[in-house]
Amino acid sequence: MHCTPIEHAISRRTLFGAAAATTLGMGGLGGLVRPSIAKRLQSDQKQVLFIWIDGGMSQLESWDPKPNTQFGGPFRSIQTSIPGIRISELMPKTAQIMHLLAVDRGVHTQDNSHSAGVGRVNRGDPKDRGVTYPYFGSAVANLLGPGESGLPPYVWVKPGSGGFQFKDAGFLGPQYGALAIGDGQAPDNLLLHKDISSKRDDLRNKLRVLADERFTKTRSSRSTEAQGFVFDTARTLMRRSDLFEPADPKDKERYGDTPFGRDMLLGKKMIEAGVTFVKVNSYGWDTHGDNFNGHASLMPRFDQAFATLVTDMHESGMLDHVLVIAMSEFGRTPRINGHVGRDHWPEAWSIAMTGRGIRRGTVIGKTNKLGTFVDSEEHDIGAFFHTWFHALGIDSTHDEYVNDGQPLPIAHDDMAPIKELLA
Amino acid sequence: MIADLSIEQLIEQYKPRIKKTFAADRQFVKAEFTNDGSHIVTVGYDASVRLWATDSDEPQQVSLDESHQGWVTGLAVHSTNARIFTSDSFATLTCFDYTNGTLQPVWSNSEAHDGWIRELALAPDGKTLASVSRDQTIRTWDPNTGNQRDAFQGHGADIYTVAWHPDSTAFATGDAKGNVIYRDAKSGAIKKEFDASELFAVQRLQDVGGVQSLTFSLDGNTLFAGGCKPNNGGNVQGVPLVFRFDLAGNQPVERLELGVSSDVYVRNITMHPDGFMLAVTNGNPGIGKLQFHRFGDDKPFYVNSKLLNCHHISLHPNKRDFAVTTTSRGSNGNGRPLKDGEYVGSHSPVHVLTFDPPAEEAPS
Amino acid sequence: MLRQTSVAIAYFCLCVVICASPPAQKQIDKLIKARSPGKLSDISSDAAFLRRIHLDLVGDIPTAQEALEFIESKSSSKRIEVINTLLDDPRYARNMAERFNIMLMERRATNEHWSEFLNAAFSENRPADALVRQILTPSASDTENVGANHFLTSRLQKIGQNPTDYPGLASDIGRMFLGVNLACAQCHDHLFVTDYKQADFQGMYAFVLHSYIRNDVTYPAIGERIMNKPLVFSSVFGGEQTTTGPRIYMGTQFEIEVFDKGNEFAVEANKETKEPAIPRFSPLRILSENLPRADNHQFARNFANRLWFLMLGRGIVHPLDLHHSENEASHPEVLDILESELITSGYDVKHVLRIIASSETYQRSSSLPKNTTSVSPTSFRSFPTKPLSAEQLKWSMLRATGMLPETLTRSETESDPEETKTVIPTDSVDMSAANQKFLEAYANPPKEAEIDFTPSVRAALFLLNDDLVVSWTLPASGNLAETLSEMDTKPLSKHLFLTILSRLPTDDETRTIENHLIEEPDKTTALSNLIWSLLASTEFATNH
Repeated sequence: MHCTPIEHAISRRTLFGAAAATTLGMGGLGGLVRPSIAKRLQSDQKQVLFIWIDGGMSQLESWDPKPNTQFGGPFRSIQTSIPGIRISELMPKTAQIMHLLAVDRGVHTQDNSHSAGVGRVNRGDPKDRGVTYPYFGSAVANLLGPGESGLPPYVWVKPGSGGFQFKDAGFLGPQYGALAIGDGQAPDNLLLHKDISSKRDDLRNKLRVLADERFTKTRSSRSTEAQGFVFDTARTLMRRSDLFEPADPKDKERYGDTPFGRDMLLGKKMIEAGVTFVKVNSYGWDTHGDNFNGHASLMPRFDQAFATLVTDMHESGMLDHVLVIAMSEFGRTPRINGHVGRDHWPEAWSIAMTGRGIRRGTVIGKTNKLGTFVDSEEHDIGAFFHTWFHALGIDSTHDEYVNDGQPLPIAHDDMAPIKELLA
Repeated sequence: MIADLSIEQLIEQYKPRIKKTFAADRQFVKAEFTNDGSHIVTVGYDASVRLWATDSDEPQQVSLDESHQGWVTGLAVHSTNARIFTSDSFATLTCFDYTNGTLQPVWSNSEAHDGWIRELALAPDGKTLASVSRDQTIRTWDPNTGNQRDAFQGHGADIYTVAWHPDSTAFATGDAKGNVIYRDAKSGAIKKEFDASELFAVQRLQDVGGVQSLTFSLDGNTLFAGGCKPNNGGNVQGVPLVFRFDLAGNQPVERLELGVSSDVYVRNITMHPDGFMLAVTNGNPGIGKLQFHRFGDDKPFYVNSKLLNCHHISLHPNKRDFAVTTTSRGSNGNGRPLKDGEYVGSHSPVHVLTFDPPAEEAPS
Repeated sequence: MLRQTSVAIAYFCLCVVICASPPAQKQIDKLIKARSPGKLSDISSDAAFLRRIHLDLVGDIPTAQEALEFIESKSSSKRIEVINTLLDDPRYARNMAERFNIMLMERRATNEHWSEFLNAAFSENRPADALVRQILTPSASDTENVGANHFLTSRLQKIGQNPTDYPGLASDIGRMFLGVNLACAQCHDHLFVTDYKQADFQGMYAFVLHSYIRNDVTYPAIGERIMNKPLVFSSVFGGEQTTTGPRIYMGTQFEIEVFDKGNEFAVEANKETKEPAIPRFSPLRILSENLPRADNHQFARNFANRLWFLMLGRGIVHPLDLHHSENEASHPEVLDILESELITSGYDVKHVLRIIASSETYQRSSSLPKNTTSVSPTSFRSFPTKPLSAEQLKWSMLRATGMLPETLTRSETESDPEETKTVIPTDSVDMSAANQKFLEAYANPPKEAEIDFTPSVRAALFLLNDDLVVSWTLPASGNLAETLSEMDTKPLSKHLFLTILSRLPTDDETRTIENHLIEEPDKTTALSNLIWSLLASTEFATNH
């Protein structure tokens, strides 16, 4: 029997049922690697999993605790799997896999407001050239391309609304925007029309493509290319409706049945499906009030999902191929305000990463005893973009975008990769 | 009794004025009068326990102990002898003697719980000390020796606050999810559970709110639970709420809103024997309210919004004076606010207020 | 018979008027050619022109019959005639209202009063200056133009805990009505546009800072509080403090009239009706009176540029909100002509659209000139490929599939002066559901201007799998699918292409249809596929 896309999806469900998920989805249990992962490893596709912790995670309640100091807050620090390195007691699972991570505690960026900071950090703070630079996800989608999966190169897994967001793409154009998946919901109209077989869908699309070929004979191909691209991507998504099926309950338990836990699981699925750049968002970190009780419940839930994901990817071998980054738009003030909160602090905070091209088990950068300012070499976001492009095999100092004839550097002119973070 | 007084009369009788203020350059969580009113004890974010003499105009810090770690948030003052009890976020529980105006540790237990010991309360008869913790347990102790008597479970969450029934046979505890459990102190048997879950919400990844304060009425028939109704996580906003639970039934008899959503948490409720309660809300930076409510009224008869970000009230044994722990002005701000090149933290002015009118100048 | 004669005479008179009018379009063509070296595309085919002018002026495609008649007509004045006919079509008002709504509101929430306001304005060909004046005037207890303030009130809506976005409103007034985006000059002089100073932003800001949304009426309405002192500002980069009163970009400051306490209001608040007080000094009223004026060239220039954009898909100054000395107009003299025509005609929108539509530049083909592989979009040597809006796609797909009954014909309404309102046919399709679906599939999210052809995966999924359009490709009372089912291949092919793409098919295309009818033996299915494939084609999705 010739398995056509829609029939393939149906028969897999009926033949294997729910058990299919458990037998095939080994994840972090060691042993069998799922066929899709094996294929991905073989192709050595370069990918990024970018975890965006929106609002500003407190570095003092996470990567760079200063217990028992004026601004240290109530929590203790705990030993990690790297000798001599301690992180907040609120991240016990991550402490056990610290040897897989690289953390820079010497981050110093420019903006202390969300409105400016989020954009600037996501764009790598390039020098002003009168154009809107793309967010990191759009940049990577453009520089690395969609790979062979045919899926959109940039997928954004987030709570709330989904849809096609092309604002991130800046001057690169809407093609490099993000397909946002909100609350794990499949995009509208994902399933093939009930009265149309996939054979018929192929036929009608063949006719459409033929019409476009004729139309573009005497014209610039830009429009037909864009139209063709969106239909191809749409039809690829349709064949991958399995991506939106409910997660295995065992996995849900390991990642935590929370919005972030579920989204991290979906993000991993997207990576395994071959999406070039997956961004997973967690919201609600802007703890200007009740920061400590806030982080007391936020951090453990982040910790569980993050540590489980990194462990799963490490055990499946995916970590060697996928660059993983976890960051916010800034850190939080050492000073504690009257609402028992911390405000925005770009002066001294931390970024964590691992995966492709990144040195494992290293913590660089130091803040002073009180955690107020960076004591060692400081790194701004531009240096991280250089580092990450370098980890992905992209020459960040010479490669350029070309926008309407204007060449534009992909990362900040005056900065360079942070060698101590690179493998 | 004040039940018959008009609002104007109430204000005349109880309108407070600030007598004196003291502060260090650190933040305090609580300032409590000692049982004879001669001193105030402060505990706070710098893990310090400080003893202040209150007889002079400028209160003097007379003793400092820095043996704690992290935040000291638990403080209980013995009602008859010169003993105080403190607990910190590193799970240490200590008893101090302050005879002769010096803090001397009597006993200390550095593993009293498996996590942050949020609050302490001493039974009015002075025979049992109760502690509650982030480890979700309540423990009782012999105050003289520090020996643990019991440990009780039942809250499936971080326990924020504890209060004793005036007759010393039972206590109530309130947790991060808005549950209140009232139990027998000896057996631990649960006598009643109260639902204050309106004080709690799950917002995205965060557990928001919880029971911030618990206080019994002086006759022991009513239990007050304070917090806020959270609008959102992150920068928590929410209308401050007080539930008044009748110990005979478990439905809230009264539900009082003490302000607007920028006032946020009701941090402390203190009973005045004349028949009203004093409450403080901590609010957004630069906001705070001290309120006096006569029982039975639906609105406070006095509100002071000049005391910023209040966290605690302590009534002097004379019942005419009280201390309010507040936070410094300008405690918040994004980015780099250096003062003469130094990064300045917040601090906690403690205001001692009185209902007494100002003393007349004696004719010379 | 009599009626046809009077129509013919009317057309004849129009033709005479057109031929005698000043050749602004000829000047434009000459200037375009002069500034754009290189081969020009041929003039477009009649079919392409007809579809194009229909979409631009009435937001809808021609019927198969109209297309065929136009293609076969031998009249040398047919293009001019169709331009004039469409300018008088009732759908013109609907289309311009929709296009101006997209341009001015950038997909913020709609309002029925605002839609009615725009429809009425374009129906009577209201002068552009009057239109903008009404949009900016803070409405009193006025019953006309009740939706006009929606432009202002929508920007002042509070979103969550965020403060009211007065700076956003000030910027948008500049962007839409003066073609300048001063948003990045709020806190300091603009970092890369030397023309835009902080004082320019603050001057505009002073007009709006004291306004608020009235809640005493059900239609969008603006009220104003007292303004009795200038704005004080200084750059975040340091420097002295300066003050400004309300000042239109490139204009002079307006003096703030201060009145004694108790005398500040021209009209006192009315406690019964809850109407608010109206201050004697009303910055918005000053703005509305002074911005859309002949001596404010930037107003006419921006408006003319936007009319050119509506027709040609790209402004002569582009982006549309970035007029400044370092952003050169592609053809400044062309813009001068349009600006002047707009002013001297009394801000007559139809007049300027007619000029543009009559030009060779507009009528040029979108196919590239021979032996050319690419053409710069700023040269206008070819007609660019423009997107269709969600609304245009909806009307066009409905008409193409024959799901839109012809309740609207020109001859019926022409002689009826009362009939100025657009009649929306309701019995074929649930129009409100269709509106909703097309907006969701094709409209940008709020605050994203719709400028270029940017097809989306969402729209593709909509066409592929949503039942709405798929159902239109199946036979139903008198629609295209049903009509085609009774035809043989050759006439079928002709009718299919004329109806959907407004042109005749090539032999290759007819052969493709023939092949498909063989490979898909079920005629209903085959026709559905053929109709769908053309609706999903780039040729249909764009205005070329």
